[in-house]
Amino acid sequence: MEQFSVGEDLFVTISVVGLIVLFSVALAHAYHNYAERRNTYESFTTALDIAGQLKNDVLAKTGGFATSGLISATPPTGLENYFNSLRGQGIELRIEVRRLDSELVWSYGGEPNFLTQYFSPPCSVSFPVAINQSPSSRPLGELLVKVWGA
Amino acid sequence: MDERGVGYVADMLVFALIISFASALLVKASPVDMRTIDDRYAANFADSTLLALQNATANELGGLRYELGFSDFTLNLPILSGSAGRDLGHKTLMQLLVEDALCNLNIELAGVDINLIKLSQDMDAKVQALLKGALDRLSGGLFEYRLIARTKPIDISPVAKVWFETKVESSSENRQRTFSKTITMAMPISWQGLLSRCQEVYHINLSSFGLEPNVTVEITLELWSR
Repeated sequence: MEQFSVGEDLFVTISVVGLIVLFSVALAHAYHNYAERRNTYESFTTALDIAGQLKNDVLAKTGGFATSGLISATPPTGLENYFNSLRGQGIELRIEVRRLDSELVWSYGGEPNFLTQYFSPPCSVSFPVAINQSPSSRPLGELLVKVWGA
Repeated sequence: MDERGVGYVADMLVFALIISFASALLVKASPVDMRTIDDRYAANFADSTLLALQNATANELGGLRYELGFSDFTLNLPILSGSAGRDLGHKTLMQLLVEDALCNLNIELAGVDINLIKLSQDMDAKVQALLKGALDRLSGGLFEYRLIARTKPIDISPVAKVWFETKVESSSENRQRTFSKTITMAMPISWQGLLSRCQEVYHINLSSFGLEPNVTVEITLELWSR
């Protein structure tokens, strides 16, 4: 039976455990960065697609047909259905339409919860649009779309 | 240290090597080149900007009113009293750009620009200022831009041609990674209609030229990140 050697075996054990912990943390951190990049890209792609649908179709319908880039000056009917269909896919959304001087024209959807979205922060994109106030008054504005996971 | 200790150390070193390799792979491995995100956003932004300019009216950007006249001379005759002024605030920014092209066509004779008297010279400057103001505010400091509107040159004789080109830009520099989007808009008059008016004024027979039925203006927006 081998004799237990406190000096050498304890040192080796501590070193091994310390290095395992150290490298495991490094691996976890590297994976976290990787996942964050992937998540950012996926959220951004989703936000771009949703913003495209909104400005070319959902928010651009007037009298039965849509004019791409011309956004309704009030939240259109049927927006709730669009929100529900996205919610069914696990996507939460907030829309803001602002004038160029940042004055809010209208918004729809709740704000994301900071704590629950801590590890998966919302992704937002904004695009220039024209706001359809009346046939002779269509100011430039900004469509802001904020997307996060449910 | 006995043999068992040496074995532990060897195992530990192999383990560290494997972990380092895995970490390095994860750091290098990216689901996508992050520049792709910038590129997609810039391309979508260019598309949205052109759509917004096609729909937004000039009234909300201070309007557009100009006086018919040329150079520093305006038709301030009492008899005209305001009738020389045109208020175009109800038109969209792109409609104004197309109308600007129609009213300010250039004529080149044997490679030399002929400076004709253009009663709408004032409009050209005002449309450019209006578009620059709009694009400065839309780009929001994210992008540099260049908006170019041009018609195809039409050869009306072996030595003469008619064309239009105007440019609004935030910076004259050129970048390699530039996104451009081009739309084509029709002028509210055909070439035949336009040239028949020229014939009336300049008494030249232009009917023999095989021209496209519609006058079109190509509008290109180039964007690049700051």
